[in-house]
Amino acid sequence: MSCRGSSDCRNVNKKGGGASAPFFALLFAAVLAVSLVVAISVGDVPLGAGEISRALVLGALGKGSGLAHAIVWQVRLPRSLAAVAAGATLAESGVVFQGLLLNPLAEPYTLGVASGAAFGASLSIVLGLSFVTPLAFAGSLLCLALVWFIGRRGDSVEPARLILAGVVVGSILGAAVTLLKALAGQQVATVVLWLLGSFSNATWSEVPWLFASSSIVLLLGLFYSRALDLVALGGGRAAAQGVDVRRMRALLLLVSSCATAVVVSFCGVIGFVGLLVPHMARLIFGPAHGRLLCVSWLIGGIIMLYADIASRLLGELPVGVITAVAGGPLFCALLWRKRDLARG
Amino acid sequence: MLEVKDICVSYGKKKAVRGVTFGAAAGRLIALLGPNGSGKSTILKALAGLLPTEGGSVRVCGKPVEGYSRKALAKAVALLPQNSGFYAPFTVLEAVAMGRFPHSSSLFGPPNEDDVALSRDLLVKLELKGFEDRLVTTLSGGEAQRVAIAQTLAQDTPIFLLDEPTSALDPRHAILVMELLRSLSSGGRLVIAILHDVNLSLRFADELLFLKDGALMASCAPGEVGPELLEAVYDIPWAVEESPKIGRVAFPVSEPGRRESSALPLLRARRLS
Repeated sequence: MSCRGSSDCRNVNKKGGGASAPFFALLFAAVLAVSLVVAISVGDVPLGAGEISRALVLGALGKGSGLAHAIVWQVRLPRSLAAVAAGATLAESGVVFQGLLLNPLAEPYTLGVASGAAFGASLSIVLGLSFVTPLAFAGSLLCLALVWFIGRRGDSVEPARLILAGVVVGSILGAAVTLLKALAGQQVATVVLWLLGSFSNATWSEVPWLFASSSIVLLLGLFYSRALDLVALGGGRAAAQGVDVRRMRALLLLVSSCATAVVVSFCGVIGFVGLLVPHMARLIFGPAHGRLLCVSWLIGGIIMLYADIASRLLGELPVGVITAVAGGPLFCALLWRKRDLARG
Repeated sequence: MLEVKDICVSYGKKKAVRGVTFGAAAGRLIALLGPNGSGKSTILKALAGLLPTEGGSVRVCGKPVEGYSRKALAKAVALLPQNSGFYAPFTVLEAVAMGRFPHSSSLFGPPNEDDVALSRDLLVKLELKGFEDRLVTTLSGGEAQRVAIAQTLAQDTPIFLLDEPTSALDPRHAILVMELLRSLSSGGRLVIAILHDVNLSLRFADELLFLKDGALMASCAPGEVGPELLEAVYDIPWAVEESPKIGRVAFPVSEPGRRESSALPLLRARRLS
């Protein structure tokens, strides 16, 4: 048998909802670029496209001044970029988690980084300490270490055990956060708002960290994409086919959890993006991880950007509330429409 | 090509394999038989380097199995695990081409043209032509099993280890798969398959290895398999006869009341009125 041309060999997963990936990647990239302009234009002081492009160009050249320049460069651009990178990181980590743990409910918070960060941040707020972000990051890493310690067996980790360990540690820390809220007195509102996530305080100092996180997960995921496909295909054949499953699983889960910890520490616990976006991307592009990771980066970024826009339009409503309120019904609708959604 | 010397494998305190030794040369089709829980699958996993052995040694193509990297070993030994289903909805062609993973130099990107051609060829051999674009998650048990076999064969290794390759297949496809394995061994590969069908083993294998309680009980050619051996392995009487058309055939013979458990009713109906 001979191969019928290179397009055949590209072997696109048509029935899995596969689509021309480069076309859609370009389309989503264009949508993301337009969405960024939209995001910069929205706020208490509306800005027109002309003002934005002038401010962007002049600012990039190191010139520029005035109100529009300040709003674009000091407030809305860093905030929007932070939202994009955070959404991208969560979405990609979700792809990695669902593929590696063979569980449709797996998400970036499965190994407890969100609970750890929530505890660290709540503790910091309740005790009146000024370093919420470092404590949140420390909390999430400690929680990750604890879950990993409980979930491992010998020198390997089993998905089911790891997920259970994450659930148990998450529940304990959830109770601890509730206790802290009860003890917080007047600070309770601050704790609750932090937990629900927001980009309102995002500045340029956070943007590089968030982009580094999303880039590391993307590059590492792409590097392992064919091995990820083999693991996600199921049946336990990946190891016999030359994939060092234990090493890959440990490396990818730990790196994407650390990347998620960065997001959660800076932006709070924003739900649904890490769970939902991988499923959406899989519906459109099929299960191959090379495509899935690239497209999830873009979709995650776009969705988080619009969640942030909605947040601003609704008087700084927490982003976590918007992703949950919009994401919940959307997820139900997708489940309703596509029976195969649950599959990795 | 494969030398197994005195290997033991334990799961916790339970010893699954105790001191198994055998050698297997290229060009042989070996059937591995034995009752459930006798250690057959464990041995195959150990041969594929997926389970650590306690003492003893496994040498693949003259080199200790521990000396291989994961990917290098996957170029020498292919293993089809038991009842390996599918989770993610890849297409049949994509799934089979994934078997080329150990041979591919790139870690990402689509499979190359040669790999796709080889995968298509295997699909034809396994009577799966026309299934290329079907999703693996929509296949029947037997179809999925043949896709898994094709994926394993796509590894194109000198040694193939298959754990119950015919278990989900109808008789025609079971024979198709056995003929394919036969042609692979005739072409110089070593094929070791766990089979529960004694007659398929008698008909196609060069050699039958019988395991019981983790130990190798007998190793013999099909012509040497008699009712005493089969009864000793399976704890049930067997009738073995020579058929003029198909050679030696064997059937388990049930003897009502012979075994204590069969004297007890399986289920007892109560309070039906």
